[in-house]
Amino acid sequence: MELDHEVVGPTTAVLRPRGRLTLGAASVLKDALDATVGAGHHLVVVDLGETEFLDSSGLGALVGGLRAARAAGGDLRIARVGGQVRTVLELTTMDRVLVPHETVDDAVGRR
Amino acid sequence: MPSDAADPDLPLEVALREPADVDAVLDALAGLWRRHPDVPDVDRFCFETAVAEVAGNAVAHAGAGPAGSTATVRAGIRHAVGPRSAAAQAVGSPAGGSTGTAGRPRRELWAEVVDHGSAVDLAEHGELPADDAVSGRGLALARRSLTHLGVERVGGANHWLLVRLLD
Repeated sequence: MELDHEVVGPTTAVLRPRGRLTLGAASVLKDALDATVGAGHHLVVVDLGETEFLDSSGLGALVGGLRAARAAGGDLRIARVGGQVRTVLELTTMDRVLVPHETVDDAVGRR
Repeated sequence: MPSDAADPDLPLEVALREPADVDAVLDALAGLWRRHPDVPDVDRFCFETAVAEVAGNAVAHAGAGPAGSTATVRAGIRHAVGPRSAAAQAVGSPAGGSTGTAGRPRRELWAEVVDHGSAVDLAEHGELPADDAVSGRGLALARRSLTHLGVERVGGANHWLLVRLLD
């Protein structure tokens, strides 16, 4: 997995994991989410448009990031999920908690 | 022993020693999808998710086994076989009838995972954890992704059978 990080506002950042979010990559994403929130970017958008695969450890990293963001008074939102990621969210019923947004702009709330 | 007579490249087999090997399993499954492009997306997504979860579980608990022991994954596609062994702990329905809705022999995606970790009680992994839990979803997710998930303890190893019925 590769991970890009983009600051898009004073308290907003977008993370873009590319490839597979499996056992080995989940801790990398979790650390990046914690660092992002710790740096004052309390609204974190995770753009999953190029995430090919998500397993329960990757989902756990997203939930951990959501907890950290909300504890800081912010939120974590996901955008551009593909078919496999959507399947995992639905089978775990976590699509109620991590509601997929169509676009990053939708998730940021810019439109 | 499963037969994949229609496809000499199957079954695939991957050894599991470290987290990156879960990706090797997914790479191998990608080859399976290339050879069988008619497998619907939803079946592909569900099956590879379940295999990754059980394989990841095997890697995560590999330290509990004898030194040097290696978990393995075998997987393929075959004509559906009958009801599973009653000796194994299992959840989900047996394979059911031998013909699909179009009158063709039904097929199934199958995987066998052998790991040398401690014994697993599937009954403890049926429910999803609280929404804010950061772990504990893996085997519950695998159960929900499959027609059948079973595990049998044989000679100090867990023998997993994963099946998703097609057609």
